[in-house]
Amino acid sequence: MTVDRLAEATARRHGRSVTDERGVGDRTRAQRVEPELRPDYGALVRAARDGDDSAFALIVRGHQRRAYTIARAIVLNHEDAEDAVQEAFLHAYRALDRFDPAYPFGAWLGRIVANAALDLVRRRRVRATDELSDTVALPFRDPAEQGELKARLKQALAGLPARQRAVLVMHDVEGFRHAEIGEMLGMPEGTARSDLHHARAAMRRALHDMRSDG
Amino acid sequence: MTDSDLKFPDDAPDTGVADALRPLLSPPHDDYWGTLERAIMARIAEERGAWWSALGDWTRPAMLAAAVALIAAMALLSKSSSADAAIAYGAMSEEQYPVVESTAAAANDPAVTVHMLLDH
Repeated sequence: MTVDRLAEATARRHGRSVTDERGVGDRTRAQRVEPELRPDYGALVRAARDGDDSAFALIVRGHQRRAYTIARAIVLNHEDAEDAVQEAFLHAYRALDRFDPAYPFGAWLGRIVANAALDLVRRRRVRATDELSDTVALPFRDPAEQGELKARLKQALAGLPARQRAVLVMHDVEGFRHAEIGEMLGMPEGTARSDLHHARAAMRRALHDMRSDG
Repeated sequence: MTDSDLKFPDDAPDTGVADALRPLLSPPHDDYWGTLERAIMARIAEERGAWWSALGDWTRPAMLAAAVALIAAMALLSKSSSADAAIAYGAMSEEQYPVVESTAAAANDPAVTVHMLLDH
């Protein structure tokens, strides 16, 4: 099957055009996308392995948002997140031959992205907290309140170890299960739970403090 | 029973935390995804290019080495067939002119020598 036909078939199954698999956080709201609605990443991987770059472009299109969100949560700033995502996709491209189609592609790529971002954090340990996004509005009308909340959230997020940030975002924003997160980050499921608990507590404290102050 | 079989209060995503986090994890602008996709695919193309150029860098010396090896092999082959020809020629000569040996053996007899000279 050609990539175009594959993309069409996928789009028909989705009832939409072939773009991102889902936006940031969509998975949390809708929970899991049913397997039959997912693009056939196994076929796309096979086509990409055979040298079809357009197949790999479809894979990138389907996973770049989630990859970016995970990377951004770990490295905290846009530039490093972009570097980590590019490195991760390059690594995935080189490793396509080793991808086991029985394994979910998203989890396989998630592991690569998390590792690339954690490597970057280990290597750089710089450019940390100040560069979190200032471009997207938070759900507060008062600009002063928005600014204050953002500052506290940034501080709370940056105060967490990189792995806890990754667990928090993978679970609460991207909707991965503890077992998947444990596998992606190379740790026991119980550790993922514990990391999530601590990370959430820190973020809730930041949110609660803000509401109490208001 | 594993952790996966148990239900914990933390299993459900915390939408409050997620909603608060999402804006902090967004790219600088909404049309960023096309830019990122192009950047990734450019890296992939670069990777392929590097592979081909690496192959190209190796191709020239490899071709040269193959040519030298071919010339050397042909030279050896040619030398070997010359030697074979000489041996074959020598063998044939020995068979065709057995008289040479008897001539040499008789060289001590002056009458025979004179006779041979007169014959030639």
